Amino acid sequence: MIQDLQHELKLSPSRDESARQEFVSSLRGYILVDMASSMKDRYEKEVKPLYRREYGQDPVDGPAVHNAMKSDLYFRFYSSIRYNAQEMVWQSVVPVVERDLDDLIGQARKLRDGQNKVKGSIHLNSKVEIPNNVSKIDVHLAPGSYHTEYTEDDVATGTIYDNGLNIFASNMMGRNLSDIGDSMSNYIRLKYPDFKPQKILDCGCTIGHNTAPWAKTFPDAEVHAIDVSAPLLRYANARAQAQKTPIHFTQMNATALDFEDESFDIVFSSMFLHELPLKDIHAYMKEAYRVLRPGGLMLNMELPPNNEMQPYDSFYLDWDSYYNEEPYYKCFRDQSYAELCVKAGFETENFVQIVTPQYGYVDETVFERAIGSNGPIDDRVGRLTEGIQWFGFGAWK
Amino acid sequence: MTPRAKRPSFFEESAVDQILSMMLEMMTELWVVKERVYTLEKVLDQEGIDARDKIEAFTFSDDEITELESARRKFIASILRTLETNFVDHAQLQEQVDELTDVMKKEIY
Repeated sequence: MIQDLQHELKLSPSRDESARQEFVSSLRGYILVDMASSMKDRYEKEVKPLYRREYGQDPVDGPAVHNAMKSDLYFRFYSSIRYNAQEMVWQSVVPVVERDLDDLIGQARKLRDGQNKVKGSIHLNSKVEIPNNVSKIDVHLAPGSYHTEYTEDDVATGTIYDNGLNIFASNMMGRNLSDIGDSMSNYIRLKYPDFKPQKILDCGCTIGHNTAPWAKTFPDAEVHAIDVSAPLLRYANARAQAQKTPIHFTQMNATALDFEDESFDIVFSSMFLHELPLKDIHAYMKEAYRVLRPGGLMLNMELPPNNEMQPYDSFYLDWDSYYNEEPYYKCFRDQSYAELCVKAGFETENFVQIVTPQYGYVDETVFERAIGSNGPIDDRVGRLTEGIQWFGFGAWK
Repeated sequence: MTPRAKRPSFFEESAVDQILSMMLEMMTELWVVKERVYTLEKVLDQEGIDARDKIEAFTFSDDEITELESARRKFIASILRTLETNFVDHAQLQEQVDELTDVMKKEIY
């Protein structure tokens, strides 16, 4: 059962529209859990042995596994069905958004200008250019990508993202779609109890679903969030106001932060770097270094690097790079994450890499124990499946 | 609503990709109807009509049986109709080949 969104900016799907969304959600779950498992089984039992017979060794990396799998019928069906399911997620949401858009824009305006204003803000800047990695492709096959605006004060893109993600996640990303932020922020809180961040920045925040946890975990901190997309930010602000979470949203490109040197204690991002070309990743990290105070932390939740994964698991995660309109994904995951940080100015010995269980799905004691062990990167790290673990990396300044 | 992306072809015959997409749409539509029927039965239950039991116990009249059988055959035939239109009459084809062969032989010799 698709969970309800945890705020009042709700859509009103008809009975049949809800049934359609439920179907797509179940289909996604089936693909990511059942079919993924079958496919791995098939690889181990048929594809890999055949490959070994022909080449005298197992496939050495993700691309080699991909080549071996491309002609396999099960892989073809898995891929085609998964690609279709991705399109179907958006298609089950867009018509409902189109119908309710005027109301939602009205609600967002009211929340923006309203009396019960929570200490937050929104600053848009039309001079901010939309970078090619957003404007030239429909990322994740979402019609209109992140940035398209259809009318004044538009929030369509944000609404589509929130509702689409809710279906896409099949209840695996947290009650408020915030498990990534919940896990990362609580990890920092528990592992570094003497660290009391006063100012936190979330880069590439989209609808702010993983920004809110930082405000919740560190209620004394001032939380800022930036994105290049105005319709996403308008929606994010309305969403945060509706949930009474104080966040300051600004339209800004993370590669050129309009903040003072040494003005933040944490610079965070989630599922952001893999959508950037490498030169922008370098630029963002340099900016993160610049705006961090000494003793501050840059932390990026992401998918694990290919060089620390088994060839099959690497291939499995690389799928999105080839087939989900995420062309920068593989290039990022082929990097040495430590080297990325060092290139930005951080010291090698201050590099951190973390693996956390899902904060919202396990007991706090289990979570605390996991912090101590800093688990290995197995096939549940970064992969949307039951018992998923989140991966993050960064550095202290 | 179509995303700006080059739709990948996972099968050698790209028509197979298309058919798979259609099949997934059909699955969705079928599910929507099934969920609606389920809901309909529940609504009737609420109104005091024991829909499930009544459906199980329902007997069709002779006229209704005839109507259903005809509709069922039409349904099957319509889904499988292209098998009939694409059917090749091998006997006829062989006759045509033999005729052509005779003509060619006459022309060569």
